[in-house]
Amino acid sequence: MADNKDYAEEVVDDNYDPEAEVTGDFKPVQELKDVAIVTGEEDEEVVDKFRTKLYRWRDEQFKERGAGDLKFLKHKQTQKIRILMRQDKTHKIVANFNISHKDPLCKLLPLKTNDKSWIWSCYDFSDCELLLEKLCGRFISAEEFNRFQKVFEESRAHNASLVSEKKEEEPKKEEEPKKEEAKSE
Amino acid sequence: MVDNKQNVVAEFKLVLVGDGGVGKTTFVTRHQTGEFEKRYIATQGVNVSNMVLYTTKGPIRFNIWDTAGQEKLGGLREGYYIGANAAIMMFDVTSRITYKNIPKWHKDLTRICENIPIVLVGNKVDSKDRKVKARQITFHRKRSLQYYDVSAKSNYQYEKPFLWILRKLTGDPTLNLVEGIALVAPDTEHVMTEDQIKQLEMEQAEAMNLAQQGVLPDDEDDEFN
Repeated sequence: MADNKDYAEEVVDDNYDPEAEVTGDFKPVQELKDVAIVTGEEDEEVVDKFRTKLYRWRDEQFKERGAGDLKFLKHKQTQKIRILMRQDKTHKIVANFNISHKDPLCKLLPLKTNDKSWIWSCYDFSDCELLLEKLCGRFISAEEFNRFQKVFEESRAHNASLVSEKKEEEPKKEEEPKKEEAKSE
Repeated sequence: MVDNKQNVVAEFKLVLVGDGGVGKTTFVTRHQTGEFEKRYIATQGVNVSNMVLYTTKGPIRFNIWDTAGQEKLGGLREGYYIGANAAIMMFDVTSRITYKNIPKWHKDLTRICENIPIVLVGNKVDSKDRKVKARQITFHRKRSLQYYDVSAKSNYQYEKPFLWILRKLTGDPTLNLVEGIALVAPDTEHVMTEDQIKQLEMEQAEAMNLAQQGVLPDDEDDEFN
């Protein structure tokens, strides 16, 4: 290389820290104001959470999706429980789905090749569009693996009970539009 | 990518350069999907993709120009560099030659991009076979480049290069990454017909049998527990 001389290795002392913060003299490209942080979780309470390594089924295999806290969130008004998981450090959303009571959705199956992992399918909204996914969650211990099953299945039953209550109320509401249809004909 | 649809408060072009095989594409994919790709598939020309990071200033999008490291002769075409707001130069700490080539990449970059924030990144620090030691990494010192050890495999410091760049581009040393908004997913009935749902779910039940036999990739767990 022609400029080898310019780039010769420097001699540094024992305390040398290559990662020392560099401030530099850069002109900001775009100065921005601080904004209020909105997580979308403001109307929810945390039912439970689990340290989780999450995988997605892609190209006929499980591929890593992220590591972080997987939270069960219950909405204060609708009472519905969803799962939300964000990647450590970047906080990127890696799972965001309602725990559906409809088979075969959200039915836990143990992964046969790893004794601390559950798999399930769900309509995941983590990339802001509903995608039917097969997810796998790996937990830190056998205890957490078992506890996850308990919380997950209780949440699923809870969501199912919300729907059956709603159905009992519904018929009354549906009667009125029918009358209007009859009139217009 | 879906990230395209998100409203952002700012958008920046970032170029990623360095020798072939140092892990540039793997690093970007790791951020975007979480996947860690072990196989080496050489990038041809350039891959342009998006990545949105949620910050104390709101969501900010990077247009990442992930370039081919294999173009040994003559460097990259000017167009790759024009308009870049920031750059990451990557080498592999298990390969001395990739560090020795950093001056060449720096020269190629700065011939077009003057005084943009640049982070020098030594990837694969999870490896037991590290060849480029901390005290040998001095190239950046007098050139106002920031340096970080990273590992795309274990996620060690993998957010740091972006964070430093964002702080420089906005002129705010207190900028941080935060939790972005996670809206409650719409019910499936609102986006699909009952028949579509049934069809999908039948296929899903079959596929679950296959998935149940799936093997998890062996990954580094130091960042998990």
